[in-house]
Amino acid sequence: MISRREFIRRSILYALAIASGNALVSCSQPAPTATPIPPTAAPTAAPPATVAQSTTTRVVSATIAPAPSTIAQGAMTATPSAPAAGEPYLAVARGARPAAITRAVVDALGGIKKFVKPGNDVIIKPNICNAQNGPEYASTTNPEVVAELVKLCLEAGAKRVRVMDQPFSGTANIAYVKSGIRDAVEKVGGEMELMNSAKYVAVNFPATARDIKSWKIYQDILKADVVINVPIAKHHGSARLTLAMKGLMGVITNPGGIHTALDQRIADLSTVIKPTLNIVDGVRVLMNHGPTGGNLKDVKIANTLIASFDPVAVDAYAAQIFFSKKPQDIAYIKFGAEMGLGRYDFGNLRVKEVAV
Amino acid sequence: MNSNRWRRARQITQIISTAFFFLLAFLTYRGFESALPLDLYFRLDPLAAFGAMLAARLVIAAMLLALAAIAFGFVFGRAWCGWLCPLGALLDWISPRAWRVAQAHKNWKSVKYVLLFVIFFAALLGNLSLMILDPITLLNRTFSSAFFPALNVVVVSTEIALYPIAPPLHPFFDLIEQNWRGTILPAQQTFYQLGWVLALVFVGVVALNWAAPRFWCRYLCPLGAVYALQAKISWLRPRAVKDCSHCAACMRVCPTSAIAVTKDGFSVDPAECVVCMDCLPACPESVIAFQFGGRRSAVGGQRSDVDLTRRHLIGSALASIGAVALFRTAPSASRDDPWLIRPPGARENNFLAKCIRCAECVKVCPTGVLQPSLFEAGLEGFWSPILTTRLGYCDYSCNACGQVCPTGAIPPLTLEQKRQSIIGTAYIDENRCIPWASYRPCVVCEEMCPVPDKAIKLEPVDLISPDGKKVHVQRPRVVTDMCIGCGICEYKCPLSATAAIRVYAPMQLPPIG
Repeated sequence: MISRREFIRRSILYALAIASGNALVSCSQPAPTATPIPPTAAPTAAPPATVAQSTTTRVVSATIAPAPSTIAQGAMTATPSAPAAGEPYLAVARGARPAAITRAVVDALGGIKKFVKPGNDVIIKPNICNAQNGPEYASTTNPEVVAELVKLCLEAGAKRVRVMDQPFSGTANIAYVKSGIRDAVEKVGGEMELMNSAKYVAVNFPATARDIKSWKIYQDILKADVVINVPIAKHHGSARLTLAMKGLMGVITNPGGIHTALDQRIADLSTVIKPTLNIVDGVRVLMNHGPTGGNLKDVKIANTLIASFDPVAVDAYAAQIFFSKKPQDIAYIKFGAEMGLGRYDFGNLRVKEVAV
Repeated sequence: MNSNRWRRARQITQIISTAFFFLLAFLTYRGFESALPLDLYFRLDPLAAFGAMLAARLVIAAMLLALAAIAFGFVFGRAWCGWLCPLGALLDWISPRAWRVAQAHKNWKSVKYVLLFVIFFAALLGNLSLMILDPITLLNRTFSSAFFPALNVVVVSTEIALYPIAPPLHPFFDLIEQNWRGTILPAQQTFYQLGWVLALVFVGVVALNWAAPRFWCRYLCPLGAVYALQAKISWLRPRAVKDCSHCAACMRVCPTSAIAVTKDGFSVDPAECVVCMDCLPACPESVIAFQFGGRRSAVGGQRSDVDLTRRHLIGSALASIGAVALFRTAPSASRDDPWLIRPPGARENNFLAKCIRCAECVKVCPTGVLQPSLFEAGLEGFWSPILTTRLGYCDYSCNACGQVCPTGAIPPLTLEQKRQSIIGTAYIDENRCIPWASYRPCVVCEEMCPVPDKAIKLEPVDLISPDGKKVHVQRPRVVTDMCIGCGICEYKCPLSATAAIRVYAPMQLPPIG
């Protein structure tokens, strides 16, 4: 037994010790280097024959996207986890069943086993931007697509599959339910994680980033073995479109602070946050009044998914086929290519289209 | 049951009741989806219930549960105060260890009745300002806008401090964040302009315990006064069943000085007795008993410290009339304060005559936009809820405030109705807005606007900046007819300090033609 006085004295001592320890750690901690997600292991050469019945592979004609001459040749080699020879750089799947095209688009890129290894810790990051609308309004990612991805990852032997996003309005609890994603994900064995404010860590950005020097990022996104970014394709008043690169604003603190130089800073985020796979959900596309939505007349059914490890490529491709916009007209896509974060010279890239 | 067991039963009941009050208070963060009756304690509060009904001239069905409390009072007197009231329980627990026998300030005991009468007459005149003194609203308001937000600061700061250095604690933090966030902890940190004031008022109420045990209950509490009036004729009564040695042991333990032992012998005032039954085990001769049978059965040793007179009534009535008349000469009675932004549907709902200032809406609001007001609604509306749209916003997916409001002061709108409800109007300050004044692009307000067709429109403009560069910006404009005043534009405006887009009280243009 210790006296009350002694107890209080010791408590204060412990608290001081913890506080000073914390202060020391935060001072002495080496600034976290912008280590990208480690590139996925060598492709396992999944034959495209396993994909779907009506698989068509073609090189997209250069008329869609002439490669801008501004892209430095050296930058292109820096694209993450470039595919092996003969593997498609970008895959497009079309079909009325969201789950089926999810499987098809992943298979077209070489199959889920190429990205997820047994025992991996996987995070799937959909767009759950607010708590206002159900999936039919196309402001949040299609729940069937997300659930199918969870299933695929678990089939590939993932130890744990978590799904998370930080909505910009409403609470995550309500948004997870309203979007239909919580229900779909938990049914197939995934976990919904409420993003914990204690888990954001300050990250120093590499010199390739032109504007952001340091920003706080959700540490699990940086630590996970595999991150799959699944944005929904939407109109946006300022950035014009919100797709894969812009979706990364959901895993940083103070996303509002990005807005003062929005396009450049969106591109900068991709210098540090490098998802293993980016899949743009174009099952439903929000054509106007984004990113919030709420009006069915603004929703276009496109029944299409676009996937690549290259965030610039998926965004550029989505801009063209959903919104008929040139990639170079969307500033952050243009910046991303200039900075060597990806490419959209589709004339030189192998694009595989499948229909299910 | 022997005498000590009654006392023990009372203590356990107090613990359960207080725990249940706080359980409901915590669960309110989940909103109206809880299966439990979150507003139970307000519905059991006759002062709040009949005050609001009187002021609004309306039978509020949900609040008729208070009739049960009235019936309870006629049977058990002030047992509510001793057994069930969570504030009473806290005041019992947070007390100086050795109570001295407090002076029975007889005159002060009438204060609570005067407050009750003033509340009653003011309610007749449609005013509920003094409902801030109801103990249940006082407790709920203090915890929802002061102590719970502060508790969340402690939880979050602890996590932030320990997360990097204590990995073994991570599962524990995950448990808290994944299971408690949005259910018993607020979904996000909320901020209150009057948190400190509310906390100090509460601390003041507790500190008065040092002047006398249960100072608040014996002298001030208007809800206690309701039960005290009933206790004067209640069925259960304390009495001495036979004469005793006048040792005064009972008097020393009585927390409300209901018992007096003088040279004339033992006497007890049922209006002051909170039926705590501490006196039963204290009495070495076991002469004190609580017996049913009303006044006739309990003639021995009965006393009444406060004899309410016509003077009390007339004085209270005049005070109410004077105070309410003064309220109605305030600027807020002439026209709305520009910052008087009420919860959805409340403005058109005779709000101040129904709002009991309980702060349930403040607690349930996930963004913390709802706040106890300062003087936006005049002194009359002090601590009634308003929206402070720089501290939060009315989320387009939420209609929780109307669902938890116990009196219907905030109408229980469906989500669809609430989305149509106009709570304010946004205006852009073109002298400060970034694209208007600073030659730089920004469209955060438009991006955030939740109205399906966007109540903020963008006008593309090409400008020559002061250093001669061509700049393209999109200037936001509010379409006043479409704006519902939710305030997310003001909340998210990236300007430091005051936002360049602000929500004012709803614009009401006269109809055209």
